[in-house]
Amino acid sequence: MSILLGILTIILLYIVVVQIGKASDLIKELKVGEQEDHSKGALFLSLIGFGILIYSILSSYFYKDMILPKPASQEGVWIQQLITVTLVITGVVFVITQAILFWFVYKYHYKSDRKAYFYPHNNTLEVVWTVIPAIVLTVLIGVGIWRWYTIFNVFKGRPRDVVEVEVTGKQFAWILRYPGKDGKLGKRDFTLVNGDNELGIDWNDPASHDDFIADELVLPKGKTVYANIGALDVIHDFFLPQMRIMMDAVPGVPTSFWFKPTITSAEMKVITKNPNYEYVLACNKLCGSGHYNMQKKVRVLELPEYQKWSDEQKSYYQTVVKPAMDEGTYKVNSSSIPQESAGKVTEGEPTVSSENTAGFNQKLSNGFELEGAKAAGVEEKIIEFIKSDKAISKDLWFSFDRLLFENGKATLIPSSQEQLKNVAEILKAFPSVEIKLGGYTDNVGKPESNQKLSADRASMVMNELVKLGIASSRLKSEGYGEQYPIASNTTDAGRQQNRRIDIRVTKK
Amino acid sequence: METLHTVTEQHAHATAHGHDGGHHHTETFISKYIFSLDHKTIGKQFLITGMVWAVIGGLFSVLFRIQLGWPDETFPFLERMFGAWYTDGKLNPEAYYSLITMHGTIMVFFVLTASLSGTFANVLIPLQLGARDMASPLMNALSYWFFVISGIIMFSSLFLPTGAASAGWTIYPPLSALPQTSPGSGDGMTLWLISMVLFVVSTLLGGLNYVSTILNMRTKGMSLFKMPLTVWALFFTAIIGILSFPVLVSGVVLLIFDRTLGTSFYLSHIVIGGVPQPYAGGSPILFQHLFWFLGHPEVYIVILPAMGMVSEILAVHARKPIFGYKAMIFSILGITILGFIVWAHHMFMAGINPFLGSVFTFFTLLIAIPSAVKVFNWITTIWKGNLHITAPFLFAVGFVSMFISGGLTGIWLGNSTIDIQLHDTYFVVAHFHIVMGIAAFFGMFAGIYHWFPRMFGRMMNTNLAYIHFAITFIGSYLIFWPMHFQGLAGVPRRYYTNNNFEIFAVFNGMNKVISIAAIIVFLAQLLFLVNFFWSIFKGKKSSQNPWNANTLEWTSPVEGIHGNWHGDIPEVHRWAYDYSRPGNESDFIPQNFPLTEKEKTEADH
Amino acid sequence: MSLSVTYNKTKFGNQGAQRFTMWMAIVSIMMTFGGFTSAFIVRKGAGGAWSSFTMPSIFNVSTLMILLSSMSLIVAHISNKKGNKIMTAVGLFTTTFLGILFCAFQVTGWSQLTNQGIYLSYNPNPAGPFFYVITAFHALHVICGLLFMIVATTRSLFKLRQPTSTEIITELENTEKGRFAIRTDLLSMYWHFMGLLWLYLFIFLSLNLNH
Repeated sequence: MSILLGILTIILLYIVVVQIGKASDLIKELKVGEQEDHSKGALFLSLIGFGILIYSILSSYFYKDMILPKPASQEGVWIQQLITVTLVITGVVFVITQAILFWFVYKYHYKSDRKAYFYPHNNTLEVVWTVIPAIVLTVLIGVGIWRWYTIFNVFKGRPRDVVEVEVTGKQFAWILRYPGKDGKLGKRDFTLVNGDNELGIDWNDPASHDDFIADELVLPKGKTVYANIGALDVIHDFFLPQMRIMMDAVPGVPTSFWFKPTITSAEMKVITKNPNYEYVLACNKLCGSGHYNMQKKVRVLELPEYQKWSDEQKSYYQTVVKPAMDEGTYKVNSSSIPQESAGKVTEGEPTVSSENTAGFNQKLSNGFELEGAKAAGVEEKIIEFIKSDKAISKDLWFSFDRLLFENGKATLIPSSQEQLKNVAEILKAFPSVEIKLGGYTDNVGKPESNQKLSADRASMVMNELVKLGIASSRLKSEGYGEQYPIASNTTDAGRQQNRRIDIRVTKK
Repeated sequence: METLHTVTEQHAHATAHGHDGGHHHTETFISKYIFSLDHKTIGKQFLITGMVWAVIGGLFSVLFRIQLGWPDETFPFLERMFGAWYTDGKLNPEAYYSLITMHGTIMVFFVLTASLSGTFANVLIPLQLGARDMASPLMNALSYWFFVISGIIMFSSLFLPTGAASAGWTIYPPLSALPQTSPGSGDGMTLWLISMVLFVVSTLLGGLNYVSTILNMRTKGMSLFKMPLTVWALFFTAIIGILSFPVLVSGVVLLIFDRTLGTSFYLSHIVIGGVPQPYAGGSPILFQHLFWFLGHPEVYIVILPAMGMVSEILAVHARKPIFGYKAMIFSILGITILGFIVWAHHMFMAGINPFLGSVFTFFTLLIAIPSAVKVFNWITTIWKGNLHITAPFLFAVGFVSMFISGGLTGIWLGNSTIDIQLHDTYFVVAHFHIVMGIAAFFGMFAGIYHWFPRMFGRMMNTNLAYIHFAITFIGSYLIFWPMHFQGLAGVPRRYYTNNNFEIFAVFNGMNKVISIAAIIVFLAQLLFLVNFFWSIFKGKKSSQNPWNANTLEWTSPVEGIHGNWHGDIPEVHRWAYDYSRPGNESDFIPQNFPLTEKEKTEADH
Repeated sequence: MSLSVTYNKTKFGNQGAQRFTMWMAIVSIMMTFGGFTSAFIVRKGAGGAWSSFTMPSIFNVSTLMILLSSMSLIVAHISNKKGNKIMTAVGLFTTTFLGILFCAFQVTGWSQLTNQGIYLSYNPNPAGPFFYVITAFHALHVICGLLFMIVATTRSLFKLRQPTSTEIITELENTEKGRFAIRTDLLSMYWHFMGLLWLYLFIFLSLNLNH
């Protein structure tokens, strides 16, 4: 395919070069004689024009197999039909007008024994080519609006027998929530959002108890899927290219789209003759630097298979929330907007959402109960190390997981206080322990400024610990800049991991 | 061409004595070339500034096309040149998004609005209407200098450590309102907003002047329906700008408040990194309405001047009147009016009420009608003409061809149902680049080649023009035509790389070809610039009226004088399109030639 | 204002054209406020949080100030045409003074509102923020006009020291007086527009803030 196109390109280029050569001759003649010869220029222009016309037709033929396969939804079929009609109409107009244009260019080039035909206007013609396009466009408008109204059920309203799913976009992933056996999605409340409850689901609503979060968007064939679409941070777009549908996901403005998948994933593998062919969900509205990387796999199953899959899914409430609530480690229905930062905008780097949100919130020997500590977080690691008989090592560093700084600065965000307090209390509970803090950055930017930033941040953390009552003789801090990365600096996620504060026990 | 005197000129002469060519005020280098109040100089200033911006915007597109064409390769030499934008030889995603944002902003606003309108409105309006200068030369100069300051601020944003604005030239909030969601939405976005406010001031200062000059300062005999189509197009363009840019200002002001004063006009229910933000009550869709209320008329601001110039140039070089002069005017009027009621076709999938969507589909497809009329009229102008295949003519024909291509795909996208599949895919990228990126540029090139003798007293080199045309026309098709197929395959726009999706990654080969074509086309423009600047100093000297055209600008001394005409301003007796008029030996009759006895008895024209 | 073609008359440019330009600038400023007031209506109509409040009565006073300032400007304009230098200066000075008072009362009104609890930042109800943005943007334009008004007032005060002239300006001529007349003419158009625009905004906000 590309070889054929390459050959076509070369042919066109050859025509160009030849015509340029001829054009040069033309210019020479113009300079010398009074006889103007525009025939070569006319040939040049009209050949280029016809060449492009042929290219556009041929390329359409060559590339037609690269476009999307058969539409995988009922709505997609209607859209495809409208596209075909529009293609035929505009295609015919395209070919005819371009051909006429470049034919006239050649035919009517300047000849000294001719005079142009003084034809300033013709109102009948104007009417003709106003009315004909108007009629054609009215047809296209009519069909288009009719299909639009059908797809959006403008007159019938929300369809009833549907499979519902909630799709929420965030930087840079999709969260898929299904309603479970009761068919109802649990209510959400923005004020309930916290680190453990990204969607702000109201666990007091019994309908939320059987909701489950899915890794893939699994859809049933032949049943209308009703997608509740939303976003957490910026505008995203829920785009299923093979279904030919999309809808913006807007924070604060819930949107929806419903469609009926008509071809299962297995069937589509056969149609495309590609055993690895998969449906995808992509983000289709610029949402930041990770916009191109928000895929989720989509699978369409026959209805019984879908039912089986759905029944097998475990509800988020049963597997995660309830056990955490029983242990007392899950903050039920409480907002995490810290009092000090109400009224201020908080900055945060995207947290890596973990499936297991059970915490490590044990009581220390001094009576203080750790708050918000995650399992395998820095609190657990420090305590484990202190209690164990592992030797002090210069290479054994643990990374803070809930410290956040303002972008490019050494100022801590108020929500970091929680982990700082935890660490301070740990140090109080083990009074002989001494520690060293290390500051690290990714490799973006100048090394000198990274060095300075890392040192500033490490000493900022040290000062905070002093403020929380730890003797400064027990603390040391140092900045390491871009050195000692723990992940690759070529990806966003890696760079984010490298930007960290680490802590090392220097004396037990 | 001699200027003609009539008896009635006596009175005008008496009062105009302060303004003839012998006007004495000493000009320093600064007042003549830098802070000039002369519309011809200001026009050239706009042109050259626009060229600088076009090179910058084009360079940015080369950089991100290199990324798209070779997503797996590294380019250490680019990292050495552009430092902070590259890491380990690869363009950073944040830098990629800043580049596409700045490319769009620069090309749409700085090149195709400020420079396209600014150059030709300034150079042509007073000359084609028979005026000494614009209604307010001071406002005119201010319009240019505000444009320069706006440009300097925008340019400086490229050097910020957090990067230039990166939320797309459409800067939708919340992405553009919250710096935590993207580094480019920090100081880079602030500078972008300041730059754009100044830019709007510049555009308004210009547009107010153009309309006022056209309606108040035409020479004797120049009734509205004797004006050349160039002026008609620039007239409506200015009106559109006056009515639509202020609404962008209101949208931008609310965005500035959201960014700096904690208001929630566009923000509500925002959660960033698991932390809810204290904004409530706003809607991002409000911004889209305010933005596109400008955004759509903006594209007509871009294309109408090109259309006006192409009409003029086709007539001159075909030696034939433009077909349907009045129909052309009314179609411009139709496009102007309809252009204000179609904005939400950019928002079909934004979450608006479907009924609203259908209304906008209706008007959007209607706007195809006046556009179609114009295309048919251009083709009929060429029919049975006596065509001089000059450089301006090449580009004028190229414009018509490109406008047909790009305009027809507009019919696909304007139909909301089809937009459900094609919105924000490469199909849209193909459509708007063909109409704005190529057609409008071709109109601009045609205008530059055609009016170069008027601006600089010399001719540009035709050989180079032919090469420029061939490479640009063919190359541009090679760049943008394949993108239609990518769009139909679902490839989204504004993707740093296709590699994360197998169904999109199949286009990596096509992307290489497109990128190579883009680099070649960019280099061809440099060829054009060489031709342009070399010809200013060494081009073949032009005669008074090298194209044998009818319009008044060719009666003004070719070296360009303050006040435009020695002595009195010509009086106009006929329309601008008496080319190859039967019964006349010459194949053109300038506007300031009186009607013959025979002509006085003939019908209109 | 006539649209007739005027053949490029005087040294100071075509006055008809300049007045026309000012009219169009007025239209374009109206479009910006049109954008703001449409956004207001759309947001209000979309439902959701909307707190009603009444504008503090001091805005009635500021409205009166700006309308009176238009009247004193008309006095100044007529006096200038008649050649009465003293009344011209008095009129311009009064207008400037009333304009400054208008801005002062606007600021007072804003602080009264803030004390009432209708504030700008982090206000979950948009009615307050819209009010501030719209009225502040108007005040910004008034301040720009005030700058020109101060210059005009100062010039008129300087002219008081020049020998008296009994010329009446009926035609624009190549004179200082003619130039001054054009400038105050354009400034008057702008100033009256500011007053009328405020009247529109005042009525709009009074009607739409409460429900």
